[in-house]
Amino acid sequence: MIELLLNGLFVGALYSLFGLGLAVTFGLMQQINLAHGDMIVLSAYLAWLATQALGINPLFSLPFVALLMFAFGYALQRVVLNRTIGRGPMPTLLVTFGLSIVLQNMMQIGFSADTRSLQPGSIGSAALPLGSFSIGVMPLFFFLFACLAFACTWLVFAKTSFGRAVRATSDDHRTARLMGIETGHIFSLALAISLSVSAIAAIFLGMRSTFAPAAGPERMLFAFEAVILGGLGSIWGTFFGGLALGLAQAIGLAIAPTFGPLAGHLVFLAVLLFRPAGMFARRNGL
Amino acid sequence: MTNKLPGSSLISRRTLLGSAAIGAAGVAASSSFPMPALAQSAKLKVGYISPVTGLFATFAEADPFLLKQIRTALNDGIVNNGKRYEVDIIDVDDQTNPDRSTSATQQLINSDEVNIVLAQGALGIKNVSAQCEFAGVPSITTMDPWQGWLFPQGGTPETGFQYANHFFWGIEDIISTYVGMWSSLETNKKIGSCFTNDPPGQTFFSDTIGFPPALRDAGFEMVDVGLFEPGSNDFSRQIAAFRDSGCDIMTGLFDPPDWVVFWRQAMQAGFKPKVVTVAKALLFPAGVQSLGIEANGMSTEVWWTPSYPFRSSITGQSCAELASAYEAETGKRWTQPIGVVHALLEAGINALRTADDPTDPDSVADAIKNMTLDTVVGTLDWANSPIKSVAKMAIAGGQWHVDPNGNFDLDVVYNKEMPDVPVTAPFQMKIGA
Repeated sequence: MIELLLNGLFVGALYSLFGLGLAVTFGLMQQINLAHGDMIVLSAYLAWLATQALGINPLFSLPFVALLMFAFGYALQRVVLNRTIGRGPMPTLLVTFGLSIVLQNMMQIGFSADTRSLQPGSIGSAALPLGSFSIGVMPLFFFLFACLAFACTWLVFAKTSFGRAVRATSDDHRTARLMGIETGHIFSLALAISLSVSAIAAIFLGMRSTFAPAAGPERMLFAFEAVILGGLGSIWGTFFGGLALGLAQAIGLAIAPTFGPLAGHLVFLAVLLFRPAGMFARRNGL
Repeated sequence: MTNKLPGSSLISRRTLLGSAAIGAAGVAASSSFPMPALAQSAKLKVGYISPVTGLFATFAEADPFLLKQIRTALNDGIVNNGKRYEVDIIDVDDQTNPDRSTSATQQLINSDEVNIVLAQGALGIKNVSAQCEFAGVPSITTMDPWQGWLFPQGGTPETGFQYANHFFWGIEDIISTYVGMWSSLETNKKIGSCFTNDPPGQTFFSDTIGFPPALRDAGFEMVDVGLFEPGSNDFSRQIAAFRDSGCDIMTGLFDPPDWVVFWRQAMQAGFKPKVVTVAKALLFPAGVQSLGIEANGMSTEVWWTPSYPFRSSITGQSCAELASAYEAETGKRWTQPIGVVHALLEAGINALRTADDPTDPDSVADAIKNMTLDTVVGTLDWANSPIKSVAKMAIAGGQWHVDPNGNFDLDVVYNKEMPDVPVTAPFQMKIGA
């Protein structure tokens, strides 16, 4: 049973990471990026390219992928998405929806429909014996790294003037501009950070399982659930939202294997019913 | 509305192409104007629907190559009863979406007025067959075990359908192949199994026609904790159960991504079966590549390989020539669907060739019902099949061999059901490096 729950937590940490980038765009910038899942898949392909070209372990491709996605995110927000600010949620929704389709098809053309995976090397099968059972070294490492990624993101958005500027812009971009905040630049940086932290999720996903051009929307579902479970606007909420999802699935799996994914969705539904704002939603701040 | 959009774009594209062709013909031969009209009456149209994009895109990856090859081979048309017909193949992508399969079929039948519909892809073909049966247009489909195609549509082996036809293997073939492979090895006869909670998985796990009764009869003990949802991220429950009861053999039906998750978790949890035979996930080189050296020794069913000793009835190529033509043109490894899709096109063209009147739907449907054709996957026999409307394809057993440099090959290790196909390596009990 402990083995099951630990594995649930490890899967949950991955869901949290899927949600982390979305927690920034959806929760803090109040801008729904429907192409988030596809951008995770794109990052996974970039990591794959890097490992193929340089022959390195996928973990070491992280700086390279994060940097590229940072640039991509900045340009995307600056050139495209900033034009939708202040016109309600609909234009962003439509633009990112279209972007999702374009990205999927471009990846299909560029990388074919083959499922691909990042070779984890010897860490992939390494096990840590714990009495009667053993846990994987790789998932444990992912879990710890996820904690670190959340802590860094939280620090950036909660404790710096840049973070305050992002929140001010999403609350009222006109007043923010009057206060001397360069809203266009600030939002572009925020999306850039969102996409570069998503690169972590992408690499872990690729090392754990496989990805294909059409795999994005499925990741998107877990990302959304983690963000909403945790509560909009709360970075740590997303972390615990993802863990709750993973644990619920593990408990569901123990009851019956078909019940696993459903159990996660049921917990999500229950939280929506009884705490519509999410488990850790706070009215002000992170 | 979403259903109509792609349809209308197809029309406009085709109308454009059509008018361009007429324009060109007019310029080139304005003096003999009635001639193109005559030629047009002797044109046969083949509709081909496949999942070029979407979840099942790997099954259609070779389609552009195969269609191009067939179109070239049919440049001069086909001859039926001494009369020459042009053949036009209209291919449509159903995006692995059954709704699109339906609308694409309607479009092909009503606007393009095709003479026969061919389709592949486990998700959409039942809709294609239903539309064709309803409209009275002959069709041949493939890429789904026949039970999964026949029974959900309310068909029975005794009656079959009037216009809809299918060819593929059945669950009984995969069971006898797997059991035959496992029986040849020295194991403790304990099998851990994991099937998806979808129609194919339910058939595999069925207590009447699936693995459980067959394995009991063959003296195997089956450990199974229940069906799993496709797309699962955590298999620790199943793995713990198999490991704790000491299973020597691991089997199941997995999509490639799920299988990679399963296997990496199994290694972390210390589950080390001696034999791993998995359906679907290990069909494609890409699925094996995802696991690298860890996939060495894993086994699967084989529908087609370049070592099959058959020739194409259209291009005359041997299987090895077909595979190397694909590899030379695309730079990619051959995949098993190449043979099956090629055979589908062979069967469709043969129906038009042998029908009394290829422009008459009933006559083409009769031609399929009476067909016995040697294709690249072996003989497809609708005429003498005990299951009406279904021609069975035999399967062999294969084992992947991966070397430390990442090169991999699928060897045929078991051929009891398919004696024509030579065994290329012995079945070995070794998994991983």
